[in-house]
Amino acid sequence: MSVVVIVALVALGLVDAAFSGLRAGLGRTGLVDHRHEDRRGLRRGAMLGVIVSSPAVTAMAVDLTVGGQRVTAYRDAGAVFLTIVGPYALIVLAGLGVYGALRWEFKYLASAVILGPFTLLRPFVVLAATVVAVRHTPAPGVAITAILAAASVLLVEPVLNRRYR
Amino acid sequence: MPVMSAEAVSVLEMRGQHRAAKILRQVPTTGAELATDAVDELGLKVHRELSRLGEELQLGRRVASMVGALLQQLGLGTVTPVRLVDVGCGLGQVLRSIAASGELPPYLELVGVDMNPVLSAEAARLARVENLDVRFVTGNAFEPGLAIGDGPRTVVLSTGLLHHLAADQLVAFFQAQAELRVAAFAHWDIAPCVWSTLGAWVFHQARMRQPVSRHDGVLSARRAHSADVLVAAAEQGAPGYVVDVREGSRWHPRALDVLRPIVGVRG
Repeated sequence: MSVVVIVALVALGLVDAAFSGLRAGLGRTGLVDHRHEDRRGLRRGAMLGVIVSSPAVTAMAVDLTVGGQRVTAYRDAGAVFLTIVGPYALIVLAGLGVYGALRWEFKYLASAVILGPFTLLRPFVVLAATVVAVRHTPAPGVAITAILAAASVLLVEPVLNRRYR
Repeated sequence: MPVMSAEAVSVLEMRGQHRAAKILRQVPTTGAELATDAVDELGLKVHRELSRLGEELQLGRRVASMVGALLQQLGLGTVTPVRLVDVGCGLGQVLRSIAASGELPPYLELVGVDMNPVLSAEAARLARVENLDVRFVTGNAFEPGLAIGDGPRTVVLSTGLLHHLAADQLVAFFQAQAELRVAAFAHWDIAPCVWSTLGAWVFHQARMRQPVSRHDGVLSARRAHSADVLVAAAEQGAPGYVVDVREGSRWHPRALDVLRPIVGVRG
């Protein structure tokens, strides 16, 4: 169970960071064929996601080894986090699937109804999930790790946007 | 043309556009004037983001689909080239994407025109980089010979241009095309309604990074002209054309009407 939660969180974090990188790279060149730039954005986002999440990973490692915290405390907080972020992620992934499946005339509807509004909602969903997870856990170390992890998720796109300037 | 920063800010404040005034105050100045380089750079950034938005709205394919139908309706042969002129083309995303997709017949010449030399130069550079057969020129698109040489073999289009014109400028806009005897025109713009304003806000907040883009996106939807205003202006300015706005109802817009065209075909 703990493994499933951790794997789900790591996978979600990586995918989210990659898409943050993609968004940060869109509309930068004006080229019609921007697949190269898109792939670069995905890579940069994922790489930066790994880098900025290192404080959270370090905090967790220290808490588990030096602080004697049990893995179950992290699993429980992660599960709570996932109950909020999971449905959001599933809807966004479904939106991407719909975007891919629709005829070109209707593709923008997936953006207008799901992808656009959910991009706007993303920071609020992450904040809400973090607040609930932090309130749920009695362990300060877990709370600190959750806050650091949330901060890293929200940092990727602004950092990349600044670097593009 | 030099623009005095304080003067421009004051005009915006007088019009109640406090947010726009605040954005303008952030633009670098050279002395009292807005710094030309900074304005040009900002213009390019905004138009690159707009190109990406246009791509998301599938503008190139929408235009290609409509122009393809118009070419059939007009029965223009393939012996002499037919020209497709994009007025106020910005970075020329629409024409460049049409050229890249090859969705329209090869006898169609693609020409983009913009008043802003920085934008048309960048559009030309992007076309060269991607080896696309599109020509871009700077100036007034309706100046005879600049982009439109043979009116009856020319189709004029624009996307997102009409809301930049005041209602009293629309008649002259359509009249200029009628005087050049263009075969047809198709101008896409936002249908003003609560959905488009809300959609513009969401899209520009989610997709645009520049504060000026986010601000102007919503204003564009709010200042867009209704179908009645557009048709009245086109009928007055271009009386020899059969004109209609291809959109759904005001309160239940058709799913495809993200931007709808006013189409005029020479009778």
